[in-house]
Amino acid sequence: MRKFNFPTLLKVMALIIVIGAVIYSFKNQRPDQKKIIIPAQSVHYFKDPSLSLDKISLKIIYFIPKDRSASINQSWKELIEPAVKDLQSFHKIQFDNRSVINYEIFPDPVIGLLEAIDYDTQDTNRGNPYALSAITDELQNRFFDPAGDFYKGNFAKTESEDFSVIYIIYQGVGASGIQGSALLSLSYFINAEFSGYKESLFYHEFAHTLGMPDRFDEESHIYTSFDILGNGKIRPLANAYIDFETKKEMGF
Amino acid sequence: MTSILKEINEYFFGQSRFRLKLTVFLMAVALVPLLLLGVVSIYAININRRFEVAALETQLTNQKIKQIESFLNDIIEALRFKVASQEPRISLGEQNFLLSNLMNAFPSLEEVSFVAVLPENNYGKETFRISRDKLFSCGVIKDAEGEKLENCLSWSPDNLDDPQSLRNFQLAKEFLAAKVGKDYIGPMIKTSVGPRFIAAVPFKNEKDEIIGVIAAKIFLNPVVRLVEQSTLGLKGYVFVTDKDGSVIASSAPLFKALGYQLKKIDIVSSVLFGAKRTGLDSADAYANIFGDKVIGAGDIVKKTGWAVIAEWPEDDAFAPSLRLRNQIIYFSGALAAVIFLAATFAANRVVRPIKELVEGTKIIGEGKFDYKIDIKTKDELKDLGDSFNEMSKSLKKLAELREEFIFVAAHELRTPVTAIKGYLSMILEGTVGKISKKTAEFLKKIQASNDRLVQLVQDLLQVARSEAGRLKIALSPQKINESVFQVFDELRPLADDRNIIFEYSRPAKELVMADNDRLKEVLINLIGNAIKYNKNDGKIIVSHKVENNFLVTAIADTGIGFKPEEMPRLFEKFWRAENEATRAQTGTGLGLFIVKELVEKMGGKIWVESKWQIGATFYFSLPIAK
Ligand SMILES: [Zn+2]
Repeated sequence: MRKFNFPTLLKVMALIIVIGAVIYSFKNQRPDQKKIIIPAQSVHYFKDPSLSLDKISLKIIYFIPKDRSASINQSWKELIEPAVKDLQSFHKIQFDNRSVINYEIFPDPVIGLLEAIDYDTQDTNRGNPYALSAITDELQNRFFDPAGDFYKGNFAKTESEDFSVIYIIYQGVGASGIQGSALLSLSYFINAEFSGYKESLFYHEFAHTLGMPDRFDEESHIYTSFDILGNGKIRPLANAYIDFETKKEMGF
Repeated sequence: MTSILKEINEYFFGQSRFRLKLTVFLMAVALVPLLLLGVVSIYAININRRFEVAALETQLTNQKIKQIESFLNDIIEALRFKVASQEPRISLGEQNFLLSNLMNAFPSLEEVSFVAVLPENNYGKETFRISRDKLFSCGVIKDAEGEKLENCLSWSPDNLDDPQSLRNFQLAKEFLAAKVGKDYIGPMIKTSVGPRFIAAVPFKNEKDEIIGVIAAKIFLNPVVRLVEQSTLGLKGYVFVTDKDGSVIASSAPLFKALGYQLKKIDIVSSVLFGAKRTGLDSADAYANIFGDKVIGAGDIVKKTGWAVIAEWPEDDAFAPSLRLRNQIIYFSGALAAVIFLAATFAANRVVRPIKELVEGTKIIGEGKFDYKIDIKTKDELKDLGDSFNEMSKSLKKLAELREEFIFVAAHELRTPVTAIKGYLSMILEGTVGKISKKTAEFLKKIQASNDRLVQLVQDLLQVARSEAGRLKIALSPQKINESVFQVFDELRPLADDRNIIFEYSRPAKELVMADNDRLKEVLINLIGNAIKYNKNDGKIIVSHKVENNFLVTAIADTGIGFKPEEMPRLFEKFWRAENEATRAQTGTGLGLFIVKELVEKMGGKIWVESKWQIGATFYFSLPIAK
């Protein structure tokens, strides 16, 4: 009884109350901003989980064969840029914010070293894939090789973990895309008949650079989907979507 | 100020076992049942609330499922019309009529197509299409009847990529399902203007032959709206995912922006697997994707395989019991404070008079019978105090009677013993004739005994006088050193007998206020004792010092001294130390008592310091005369 006197009892009670209050206030401290605690799955290249698409670096170049330099469209940038922005936001929605595109448009038209016929060859069918590969090779040397005449540190530079895409806006015919590069004729941005869905076409070829295949039967060319990789590429981008069949091969 | 604080501190925190007991008891009686009741009722409320929460969530999800199903049913049932014809085909005009009516009736239809099934009618090909955007509406221009609709191009493999052409559905999932008689409801499609889905149903004629497929693209905006409008408490929300776990709609703005794949979340995946979640299971209390603890419930939309999940953060869902818990905590705290104050007040009310009584009895026990115990509690404690006072009055009377008796007895004894003393002196001096040696020896023994008797009577008288207040003391400035020297002279023969020497280290120059005779009496008593209880060849040292206007006189001896336990009783009446040295000496046990009385009556104090076997020093102080 001697040691258990009243002031001691009070002090112990006060201490318990203070400790309780501290614990209570800590427990009730909430972060101001909600954070998602479940990590998002990574988006990756079609059927290849080793190539992350979390960040995509998109470089856009207006390319003119040497013999067509007279027909350079002076307002090319104004024609392209809205479509690039649409592409960016469409992509963001389709991939739930999990894949982000940073784009850069090379400020000047690039005159090719060769003439149109050298890029196009005799066959411009099926989207002119020959021009795509020829021009891509040339741009690789001129832009991304330090010895190239267009080598500029900043434009060539991409973060090592970024997925890099070169998009050629071609003063010629063609619409095609392969891993890492795509080509689309500038005429799609000019002719009124494509005005309802040029953005869809623009994205469609971009989708190919990420490995997404066309959604048609190889033999009959009959569409198996009406999404943007199928018949949807000729519908307005506002109505377009990427089918889950495709997305589930990309980390969904 | 500090004394007030001290008093407050003493009042509230002073040591009192009674108050501690009372406080603990009251707390136990009042707080423990309250807290127990609180815990039990919170527990009960929580359980009850859990049922309510689960019921509300289930009710909400069921309602949403019903609404979603009725939305889907309405559209699917509308698509599933029959034509009153036995023909294997219907005309484009009819197709146009039917599809246009559909589009008019259902604003959530974005596009609807008629796809032919029978081989002879262009198997798998769209023959008519109406779109909200007129640019994409289309019908066949070349058919058997030669019908032609505006703004349309025919289907052909060559203009595959023409937006206004009719489409080939031969390999499309919706067509493949519906042409064999199944309803098709596709996954959620995400577009920039909101979610939608594709549905297809078989189109039959009166013979129940499937002659076509009605395929439609349907806005899910009505579903989004009806989910967004849901409410669940303040923080609860509901969300719908498609069968792949993509969020279609949610009433929580955070989820809307999220567009998140939720298949990996337990509740979503289990609901998608067809397990109903009731909100009552232990697994239905979990952390949501923001890490908040929630109670969740959910079920599946059977037609589409979508999951409808309701989640309710616990802090909101259990707000009523949290409120009650806080109220109980605040109330208990307040009650504890009140109990503490009340217990302090009550305990002090009881303890203070008891302390007063304890003090009073101590004082009365010391013989101060005039002391009055003053208790104002107006209850039994006051009665107790009063009877204590009565008792001390009686005790006082008794003491007075005893003193009176001693005084009278001593007074009456003094005359005969004085007479005996006189006659013995005369006999011993030979006034009444010669006496033998033997007789003289015996008479001397009688004389010694009589002297002791005389001394006793004198002492008794003095004590009685003092106690009766009849002791007369006349104070005047006195030279104390003269008194000391006189006493030395008077007692020297006694000292010389035992070879004890006096030392007077510092004869005082100061005059003290004293009664000369009484001062001498004090000195004779103290120095006499010093001789009596000294060793042979001992020493007695008398000295003075000045302390706060008092002259302190010290008489030190080299005798046996006192044991520590004897010191407090030295100045008591009739008390004598019990040891070899004192047994050898005669004494009444009144000497030091009388000395003390005299010193105190002269305005001084007396005290003693001693070490057993080494000696004792008596000090007394007297006021210095001005
Ligand atoms: Zn393609």
